[in-house]
Amino acid sequence: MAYESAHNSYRYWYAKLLLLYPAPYYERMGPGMEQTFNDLLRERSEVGGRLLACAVWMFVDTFVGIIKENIHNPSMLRNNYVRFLIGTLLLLLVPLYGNSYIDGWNWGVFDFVFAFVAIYGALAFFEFLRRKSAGNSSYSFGTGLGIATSFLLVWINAAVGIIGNGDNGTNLIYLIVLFYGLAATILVNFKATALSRVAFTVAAAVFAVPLVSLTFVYEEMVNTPPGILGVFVLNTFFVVLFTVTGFILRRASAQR
Amino acid sequence: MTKKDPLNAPLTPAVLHILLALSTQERHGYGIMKQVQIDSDARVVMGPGTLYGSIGRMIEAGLIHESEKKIDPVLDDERRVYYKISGLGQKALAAELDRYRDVVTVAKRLSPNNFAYGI
Repeated sequence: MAYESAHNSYRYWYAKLLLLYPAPYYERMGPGMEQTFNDLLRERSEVGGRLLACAVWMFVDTFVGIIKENIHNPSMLRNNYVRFLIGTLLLLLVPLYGNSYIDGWNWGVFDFVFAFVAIYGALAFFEFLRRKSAGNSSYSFGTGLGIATSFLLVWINAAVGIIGNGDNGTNLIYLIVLFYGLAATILVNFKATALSRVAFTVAAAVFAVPLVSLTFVYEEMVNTPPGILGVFVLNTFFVVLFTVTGFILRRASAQR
Repeated sequence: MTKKDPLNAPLTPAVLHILLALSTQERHGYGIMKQVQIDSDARVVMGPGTLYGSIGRMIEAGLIHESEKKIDPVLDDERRVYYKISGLGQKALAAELDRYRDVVTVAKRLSPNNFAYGI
């Protein structure tokens, strides 16, 4: 019973995930992919294996495929800046609704402006770099991962702050690191080899941020969630993502 | 992105194993996945994203095509799309296997003292 319930739940969410594929691809491959997902889960449940681990692996594998197919889909070349603008504005309807109907949801004008700049800025910058990729999927994937990681870092810091609480000034060091990354990206003229080095230096700088913060706000780091260990764990997550970005961009430069 | 000539360009491991799986009979996606796992001794494991991404590109390249939808009695009563290797796919597979044979021939010519793999 438990297996069946979990199986149905995973299948439901997998069907939702497949909708992120470009429409022509989804129409052609979607049903087959869903059946194969279902078959693999059934096979796993028959041998008494862990459904969650199997499902997560397939979700990740499929998500990577979604990114690749959306990069390769020629229809992306047509006016993506406008598509992203419309998408961002639609997304901002969610906090607008929250402000009106959900208690405790109080976004000000600055919050909306910040969210718009962060979301649309990330998407537009990705599109700009994707057009420079000349079909090099590693370049597109690497720059996309770098931009997504930077966005996540900015968003989490703006919302709750990684070190101490959201008002802790040392969280600004992350912003300084990201500004360096952006400036360096522009200065190296978006070339893959140099971008790879930028990604590695950003990873090193992000790694150093909590170490530097320990000397200034040790008490607050100890007493405020997620604690020193939690800060380093979360920080390591971003370090790993920037490092992976560097390796993917290095591979991209080898492919050119 | 420039299209590669499938007869002259080396095939990726995923494409090679999919062609091998389809060389004996037409199969649906899950069937291809299981055959690849058996053929490669579980060294090549593909998720649905990787498998169908490769299938999509292989269809575009003309190496395989979709066959009729039918039911696999071993699994369930859902109708599934089957895939079949094309003539071009058979030639590409043969060309790739020839490349492997050429490499092994070269390796065998090497002096045993210089070659560590003992072929």
